[in-house]
Amino acid sequence: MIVEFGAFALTLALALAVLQLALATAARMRLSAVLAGAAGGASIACAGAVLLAFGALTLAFATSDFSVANVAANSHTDKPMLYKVAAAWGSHEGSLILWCLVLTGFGAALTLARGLPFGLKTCAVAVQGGLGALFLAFALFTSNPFARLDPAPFQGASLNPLLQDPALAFHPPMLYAGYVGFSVTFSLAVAALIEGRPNSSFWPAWGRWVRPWALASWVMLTIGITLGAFWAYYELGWGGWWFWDPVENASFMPWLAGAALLHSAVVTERRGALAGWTVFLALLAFTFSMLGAFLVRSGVLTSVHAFAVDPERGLMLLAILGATAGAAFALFAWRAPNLKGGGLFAPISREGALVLNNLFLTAAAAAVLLGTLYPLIMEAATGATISVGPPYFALTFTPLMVVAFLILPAGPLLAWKRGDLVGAGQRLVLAGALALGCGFLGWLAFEPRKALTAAGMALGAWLILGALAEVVERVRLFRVPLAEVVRRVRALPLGAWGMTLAHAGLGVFVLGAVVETGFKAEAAAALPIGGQVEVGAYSVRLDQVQIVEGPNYLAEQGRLTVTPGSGGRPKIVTAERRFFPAGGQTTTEVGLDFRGLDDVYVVLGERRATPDGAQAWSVRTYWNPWARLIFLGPMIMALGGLLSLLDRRLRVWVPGRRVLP
Amino acid sequence: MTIRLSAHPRKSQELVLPAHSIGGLETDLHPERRAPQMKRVSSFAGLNGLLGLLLCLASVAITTPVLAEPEARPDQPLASASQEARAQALFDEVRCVVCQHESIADSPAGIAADMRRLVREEIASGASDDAVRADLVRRWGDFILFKPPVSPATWLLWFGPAAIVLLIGAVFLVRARRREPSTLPLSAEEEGKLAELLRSEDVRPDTDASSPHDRREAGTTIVPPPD
Repeated sequence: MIVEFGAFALTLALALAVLQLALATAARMRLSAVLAGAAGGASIACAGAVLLAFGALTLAFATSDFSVANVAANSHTDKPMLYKVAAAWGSHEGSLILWCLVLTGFGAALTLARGLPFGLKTCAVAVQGGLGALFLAFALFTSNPFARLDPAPFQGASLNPLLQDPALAFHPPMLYAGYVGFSVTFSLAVAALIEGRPNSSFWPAWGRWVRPWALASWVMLTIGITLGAFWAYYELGWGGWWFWDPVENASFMPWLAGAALLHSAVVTERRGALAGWTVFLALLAFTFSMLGAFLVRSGVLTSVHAFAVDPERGLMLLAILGATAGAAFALFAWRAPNLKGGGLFAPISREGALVLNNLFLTAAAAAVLLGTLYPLIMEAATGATISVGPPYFALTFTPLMVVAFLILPAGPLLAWKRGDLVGAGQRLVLAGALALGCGFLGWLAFEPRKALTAAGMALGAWLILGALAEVVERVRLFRVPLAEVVRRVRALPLGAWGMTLAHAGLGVFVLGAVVETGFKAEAAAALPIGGQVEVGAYSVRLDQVQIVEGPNYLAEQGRLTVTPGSGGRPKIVTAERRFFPAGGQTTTEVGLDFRGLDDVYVVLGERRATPDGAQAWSVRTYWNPWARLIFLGPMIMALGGLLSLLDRRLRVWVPGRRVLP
Repeated sequence: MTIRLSAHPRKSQELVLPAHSIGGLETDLHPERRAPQMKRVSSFAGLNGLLGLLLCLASVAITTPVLAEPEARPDQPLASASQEARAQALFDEVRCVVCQHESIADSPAGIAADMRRLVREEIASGASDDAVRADLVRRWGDFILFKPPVSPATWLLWFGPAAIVLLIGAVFLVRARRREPSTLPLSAEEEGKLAELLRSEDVRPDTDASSPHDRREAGTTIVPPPD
């Protein structure tokens, strides 16, 4: 009954989305506040209906109702409750409902946002309704999660045990919130193309309206991607965290476009310039999100993430992508020539630096796009199969980012309109010298010595110190009396702290990525009880192996002692090999010894016999120096974004904001 | 060891085929032993699970689970450290033919272990890195290398990002240059008019005109825009 109710709520949501589109369009044409209010009501009701549908599906999963085909295919009574609930978005159908929930939820939030002018808001609500209608129709007609099975099976097929992990339970919701959040920037961009006038005060205001949505989406996408990378790191069992897998790339492209959008929207807001470019990026970010959905759900990619290998659904998604993005970019091509104008600026200026940022981020996104799609296009066009993997991205993506990172700290030190490059350089001399010193220390600290890795460490330190130098400069530390410095620190807007944190977080990530990639060590051996293996500066001893029983698995659990060679405190870790009878699958749970910034990573393998016939277990160990920073850095970046979001100037919910600057 | 879902069985089957042509190399391919499809829905699923559980309990310790691929034999590193380092570097460039998107350095699959052994054998027998790559491409095609060859067909792939930097950069530069005349210094007459205006009007400083880092003296107050 609940299930039929869910199916009904989903159908109702589709009708409401269509109604929202129609009412908002009519409201705009007739300039009717009553119709606009009705469209807003439809938008909120639509989000409510999808929430009910999603709740019904979650309930079906929580109660293991195997008469629902989707539940039977993805759940099992033995699973812990967290994973029963998480399985609601673990399949193609369920995750599509989550997608629709976020889409309509953002639509409702847009309806409730204050301060937007009538025309722009009504247009954006109409576009958001159109997007909602397309995706809800897709969910309802090709991927209905409420389809029943008759007879209902006695037991479900369970969720892939690799996905039964806390990080992965929260990875999809965060990721989707980020992906689909860009739908609002898309709608606002389309609305601006319809409503916008050249050379008016419209564009700075539009820049201000679009920024909070872009920032919120980008923050959630950052967290989502980091959770996914962390999951890959400790669950897949070989210590990697980014593989340039096509599906990882699919989430990375909107992230890059979103990062570019954040920076370009600042220029539009402050100076009214780059309006056309900002609109383009706002359209691009959501187009990349939809492209990602197509790649993951159509079966054109082979990947661990690919669900729903169904060409028909793929074609439908391609049609949605082509229709929405095609229409939006056609509108852009038609209206963009009207977007000229805005503040003038010299090439050496804050605006100029932000243009460079956009240039490199866009080119990096293009490298990721080409690397992801090229094998598909080439196979379709010529039949030749090629692989594009990490070496390609190391030669294209990485150099672009290195140049961008070298320029980055100078940007915030340049004035708007016309900057003083020499002055900015002088303020960064100390940071630059210290960064080079850090690189040199890094070169000395790690064996074997690697010049390229040391250069990478200097680059990471440069980003962190450059971000700090900017704060020091802003508060005039050491140049004015302390009381004045304190006053200035307190007067700094949250947005400034947000920027500093985000840039420093990027440096933290670079440090971690560079050191981990340069110096990680790996050792594998067949260990009897009491046997030892050396990895990096640590030795790992196998103490005990026992069988333990989990809620829905049996595991062989090894207890190992990790001892640092330098004489630190030994630490005990447990590593497991889990067997899930429901699907007949085996997974590994790695043992992680967190030591300062380093991880010692232990994987328990199969039982095997040593040459003299004794029992032994194959044990693989990794020493991943500074691996902590790889995940800490992006989290600092997300925190920076969050702080900026709390800045009063960006809070959409603060009442009584002025509408035009 | 990890189990991956074979989300695209057709493709992985195709990829498996050329692997049989490895001369004199023990091929350890068990496509049928890879993880079962996630979407397996039958009334027997529960029975299967129960059976698996019983099997497991019966053997006290977990022996090789019925459907899991046997773990690859541990790698034997080359004796020469420099040769081993070359082999390790090559492993990162070579794609595991049965996996989704993994290099043979990362893959736990049996075939990846065989391919690692093949690379090590060739390096030990004195082959250069390029010779090893060429041999891998001869056996499996361009697909085997994560770094596609530079050819007219892949020019767009390799030079596209750089071309975009140049293209967008050029557009911005041209547009900036086209606007330059409007920022020419004021004529003497205009300067006079401006001075007149400044004297007569109540002028509020433009907060955008300079960053907080310009050399304005400490203590200068900036009137915030009306909020």
